[in-house]
Amino acid sequence: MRGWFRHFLKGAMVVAFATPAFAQSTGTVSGHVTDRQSLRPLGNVQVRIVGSNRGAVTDDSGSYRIANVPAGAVQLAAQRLGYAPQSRPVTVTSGGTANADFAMATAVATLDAITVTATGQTERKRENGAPTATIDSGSLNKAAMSTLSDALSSRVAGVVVQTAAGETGAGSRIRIRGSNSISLSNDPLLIIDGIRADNTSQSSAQGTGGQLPSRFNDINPEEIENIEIIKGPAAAALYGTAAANGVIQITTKKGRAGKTRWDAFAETGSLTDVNDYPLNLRAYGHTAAGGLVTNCNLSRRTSGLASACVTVDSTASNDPLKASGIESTGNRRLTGLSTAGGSDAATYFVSGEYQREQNVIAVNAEQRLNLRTNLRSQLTKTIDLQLAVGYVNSDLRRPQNDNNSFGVVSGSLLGRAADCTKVGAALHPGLCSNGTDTSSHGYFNPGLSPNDFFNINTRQVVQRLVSSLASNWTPASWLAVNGTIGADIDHRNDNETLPPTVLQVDQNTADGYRSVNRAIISNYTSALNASATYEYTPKFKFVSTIGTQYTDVAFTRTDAFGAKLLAGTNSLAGTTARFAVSETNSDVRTLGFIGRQQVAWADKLFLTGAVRTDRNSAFGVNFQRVYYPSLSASWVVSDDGNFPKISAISSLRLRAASGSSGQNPGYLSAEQYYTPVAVTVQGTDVPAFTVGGTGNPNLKPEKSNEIEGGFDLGLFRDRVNVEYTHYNKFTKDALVNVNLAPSLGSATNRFLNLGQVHNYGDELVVRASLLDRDAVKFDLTVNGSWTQNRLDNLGVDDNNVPIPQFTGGFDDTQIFKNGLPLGGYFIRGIKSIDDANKDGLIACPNGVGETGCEFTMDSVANFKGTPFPTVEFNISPSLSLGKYVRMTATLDHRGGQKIYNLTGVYRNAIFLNGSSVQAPNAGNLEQQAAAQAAASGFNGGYIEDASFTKLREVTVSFMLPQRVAARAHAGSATLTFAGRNLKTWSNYSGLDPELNAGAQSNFTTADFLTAPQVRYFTARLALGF
Amino acid sequence: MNTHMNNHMPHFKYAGRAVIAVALSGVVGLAACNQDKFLVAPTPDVVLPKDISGAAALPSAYAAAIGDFQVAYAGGYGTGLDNNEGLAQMSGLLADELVNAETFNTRIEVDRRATRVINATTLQTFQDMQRARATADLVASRFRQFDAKNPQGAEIQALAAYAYMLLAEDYCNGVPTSKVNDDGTFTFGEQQSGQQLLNAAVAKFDSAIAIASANGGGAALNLARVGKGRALLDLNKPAEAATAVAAVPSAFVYNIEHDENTGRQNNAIFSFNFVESRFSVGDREGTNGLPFVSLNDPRVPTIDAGPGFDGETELFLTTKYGDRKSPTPLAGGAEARLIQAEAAMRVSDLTTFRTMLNDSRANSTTYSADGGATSSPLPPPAAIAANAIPATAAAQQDLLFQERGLSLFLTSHRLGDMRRLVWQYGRSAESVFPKGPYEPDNTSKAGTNFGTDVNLPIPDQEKNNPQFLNGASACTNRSAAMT
Repeated sequence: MRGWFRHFLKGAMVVAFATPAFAQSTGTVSGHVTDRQSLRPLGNVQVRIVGSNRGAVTDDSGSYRIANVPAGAVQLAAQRLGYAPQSRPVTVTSGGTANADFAMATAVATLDAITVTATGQTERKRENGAPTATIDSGSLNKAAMSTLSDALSSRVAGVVVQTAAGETGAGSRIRIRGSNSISLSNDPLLIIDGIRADNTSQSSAQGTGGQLPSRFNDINPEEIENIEIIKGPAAAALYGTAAANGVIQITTKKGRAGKTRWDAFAETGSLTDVNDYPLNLRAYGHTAAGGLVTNCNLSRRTSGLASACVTVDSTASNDPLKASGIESTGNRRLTGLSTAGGSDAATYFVSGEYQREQNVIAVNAEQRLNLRTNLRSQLTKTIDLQLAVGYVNSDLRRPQNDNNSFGVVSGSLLGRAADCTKVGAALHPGLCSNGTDTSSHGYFNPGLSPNDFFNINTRQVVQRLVSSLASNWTPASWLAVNGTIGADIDHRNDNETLPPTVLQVDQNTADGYRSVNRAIISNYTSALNASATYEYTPKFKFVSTIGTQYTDVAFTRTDAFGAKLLAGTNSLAGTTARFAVSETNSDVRTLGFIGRQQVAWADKLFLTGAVRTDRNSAFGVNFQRVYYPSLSASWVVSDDGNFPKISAISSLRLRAASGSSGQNPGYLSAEQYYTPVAVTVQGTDVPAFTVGGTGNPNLKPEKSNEIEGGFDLGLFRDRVNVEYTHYNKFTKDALVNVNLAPSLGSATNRFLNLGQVHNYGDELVVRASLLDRDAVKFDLTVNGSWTQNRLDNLGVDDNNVPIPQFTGGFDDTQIFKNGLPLGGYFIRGIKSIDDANKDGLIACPNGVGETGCEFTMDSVANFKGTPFPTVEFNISPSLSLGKYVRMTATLDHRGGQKIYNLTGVYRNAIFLNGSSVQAPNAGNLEQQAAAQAAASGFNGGYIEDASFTKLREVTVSFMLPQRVAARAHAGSATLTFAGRNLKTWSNYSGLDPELNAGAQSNFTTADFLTAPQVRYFTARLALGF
Repeated sequence: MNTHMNNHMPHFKYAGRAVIAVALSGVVGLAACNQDKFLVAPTPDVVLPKDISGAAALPSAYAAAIGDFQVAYAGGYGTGLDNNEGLAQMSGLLADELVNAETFNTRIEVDRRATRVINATTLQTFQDMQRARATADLVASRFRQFDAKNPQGAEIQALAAYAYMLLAEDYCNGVPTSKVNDDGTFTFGEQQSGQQLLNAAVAKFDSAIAIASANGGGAALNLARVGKGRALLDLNKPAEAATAVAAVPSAFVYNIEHDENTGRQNNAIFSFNFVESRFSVGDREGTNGLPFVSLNDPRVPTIDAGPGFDGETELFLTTKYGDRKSPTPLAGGAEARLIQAEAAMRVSDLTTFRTMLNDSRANSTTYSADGGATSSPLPPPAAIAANAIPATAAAQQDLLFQERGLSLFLTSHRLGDMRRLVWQYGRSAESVFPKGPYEPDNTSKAGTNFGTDVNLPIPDQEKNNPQFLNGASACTNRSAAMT
């Protein structure tokens, strides 16, 4: 045993056995909470002991009681949505009851709101120089949201949730303060009740063209007490090697001492596709010599050849979606029941919810059951035990979509218009069936009904258990020890079945098949922390914390496939050919240690320093350990006696923080390895191998360092609250998945710690209680952020040679190049357009840059914009009329981003069914030039502005009078009507500027035949008993 | 409850202190103990280098080289790098053997003779062939180290030589060949002309011939002989080429094998033709193309399957690759005879020219008309009558190259042949390669013309080779000549 360790252990023993203040005595804190203005009792107020997990919730009479509080001075905090959180010191005597009443004022300030730290303790916001954004369950109108992603969307400055499609079960791309990593995931870390949880955003082994489910949406918003967003490394340093992209920390609902309360709700709603789909067009005309031209497109009209179409005689049009009547109105049904209650000794919260959503496309539906049991037991006066168990069982049927000609929307957008009269059909028999095209209705696959593709049954069945066991031991008012163990175990079954003979596209489909991918994704967490508080003087306080955390993120998947399915079966047992099996495993383990020291002065100045050190199984063998230091300062200036008394300013806090956190390399990235394969040698299959990874023994984590600063300003008696933050974040040693020269004959890429990525920006939140009368109450929240992302440097390789820029995204339109945003669009664009002969047609008969081309292009590729918004702001007004009516809305603006309109490319440059080429006119010259250029392989004309403003949500809630509720034997009843995806304002020429066939991928962004978002209308009745 | 707890206060008092000590000590103790055991993650799915070095690993290494070559040459239908067209398809697409019935730009631009250096499909094909080359080179060296007399070593050496030759035939001049060293470092190759690659191939063929002839490696020997003859033909040394292949039996065939077992082993030519309807057999593509369909030759039987994947292009399937396990010929006696026929033609020995052509016809593999598993192959094409041998040199060349096109259909010979017609026989590229409007009038994709490519470009990704930084093109030139 090394000397230092021996000394430390001795010290620990001394602390444990010799500290005289180790009193085991406890007391009780109780009190009454009222509305300061009306003096009415306030229920549902959280009252907690700061620095611990102890607390209670007031009942309807405003009373609360917290038993077994260690004797001594404690800080008590009370908070409720819509009121200014308060905190106050209380001295608890052994066996005594301390009284602490709160009179809470309507306000929007949050300085004393409680947040949970990385080590499991609680603290007030004023104590931390790096603010944590909190979404309180009470602020969410759940009738307006169908997923947890919806709950996160448009609510927190700096958090951008990109919903890529209108597909039920499809995930979203979540980014907090930009993108840090070039090659690794940019998804935030997800913590549920203190344990790490799976947040895989592309969680499926079955591709259907683009969209993929996200495990984030497994979580039921109804079960959540609050969501805390720890935005960047300055705040997330203690979360270590996983937190570089920020942390989403979810606390689920807990029971409260008092009368048992039952809550029930039922919701019903509709989904409609209100999008205005473009028509498929086909022009017919004739040549100068009178010859019939059955595809009189722009190119043909401007070729200048004898075969040119000189006159358009007619234009056939078709909307296959409408012609086939394949979409219908979807529906959504939810019902839930929960109960909560308990005593000082034990509390419980039990809930269950069942939901079913049927999309407008028949083969897109999801059923989900969420169950939760949260128990808390006060084992002794100083030790409590909390068990949280959440269970999800979902069955999602996924449609073919996006980059998939079998899809309902994609097949329609790529479909054809044709003259299918008898005369016309004879000209192009491939496009018309029996003269009328009654089978395919103009869909992409002639002769096949689009319904035929519904025979492909792609499903994902998930059974997920997220469970944690946490214990808090508070042997003295100055010491808190907590431990947490838990696991998130997700059994995921992706499968796809196609019966034989029902879909005759090719031999694969005619044979039928069954594919099954069963995966188990496990996240194990164990953590132990101890925190000691020492009051040097009544004003000076020291809080010391040490801890350790171990996580193990494991993945195992078994794949099986068989073809030539026996009709009537839908199991691998019914397959008879081309059997294939495979197995995939990964396992990444992290062991971290934490030390944290806080110094507080007069409850208004807080200085905190901390460090975490991690080892990780994915590091290269030559790299052992990483350190993540952090510092934070918070100063509540307005509490200082010298602060000038300005009537308008009710509170002011200045804050600053810096810190770092990281992200580990992927499993096996550091290893050199080969992959086993089967090879046929002289008619026999034998085991062999092929190149796997080249490895890198020096691989270390990416490390993101952040400095942030800002202020919290309360104005007009905290009726207006302004939070401003500026942050500056550098990701160093960024893992670059460097393309290797193909001539090496090795793996295609290799990870190197080379790059530096820079994110910086500003965040502003303004909350205002503009009108507060008994009859009318009007609140307004505006939050916004300005985000800039830049790849500073891709670095140099071992030979000091700079890593060259590389491309990605659809058609390699996106680039990773020094000085530009990650994944920015970089392509040759249309430079100028000149319809020289003023015929309303843009000609380019001999190719781009050649004679007769009526547009010019940039001589070289250049930056066209980033696919991520650089500016976003949300406006959320809330209007209450008396006690009975409340209306809310969310208006969301995102600007500065571009999108690659690949749908436009396919419609106008490949399939030639779009208006740019089939109905060219003086009004669409730019689109014509884009189409002509794209036909020659230059797609830059299809990088379009994707800025938009959306009316995301509108809700109207009626709190029904008690006499009405009583008819249902309920104590309260609320009826809510909500709408989502109500209106979009945008200059984008496609269906929806948010579409992305790249779905939740890191950077790939394009509108490529993606099904657009659908509109939701829902009605929900909630009863409380 | 309170009473109960109070009764236990003394107990918890001491127990509590103990727990604190344990907790604090636990954190520190964990810091001090051997943490490695917490951080060892299993790697069950992969093979580590130590597991495949040494003589005992030669059988799996031999299979590895064959497997990588199969994927590079005839493609695979698996996942990732194993799901791609092989060079036999992509070169055939650029030539006149295949036409697209397709919607993917990356394939269409190859067919249209306008491939960009940024093209994901051709990148993968290039990566696959370079990997096949590197693996074959590595495995051949292992055989030399551990079992130098094993004919399997000669076979792998010949496959390495084929990789060099195919890179010369199908790509622009300038293809580098780099290497991952045993210690994991890289040695990057410089630009090489087609001639340099072909010379390297000939040297490797000679090495393979030497090993095989000394150790009874019949198949490897003839594989190397045919390969050497082909390389010499590319080097415009027809007489030496004829000598190299003279001893190859006419019935000899060396196939790259496929199987249904895994997607990687599937014949991708079949998959992309029959299964996915992406590529169709060409028929006078761009005016200049050979009429592979119209000739109704038993070496290239075709089936009209209606519209292809794009819904418009007529899809012709070739029964030469009628299922997932159809082998892809790499070399054979019929090709040896064609090499001899060309050498004879070059010296106007028309008797030998006809004899060799007919020997090739008689020994070419034929296929069934309908591709059925139990259907019999069509009889071989009839012998060419003496009076059917054209009188003019140009017509003789047309006949020879048509015979080669039919006999060696979709085996990655045709593009090299078309290049040779340009630079060895003095024809213009526009008289050999498809030209004019790319798609027929009145189709949806009509409106563009064929480009000017006569070979595939080296992918942009090669700029990660330090030799090609600062925007330098990896191709030294795009000419048809392999010089």
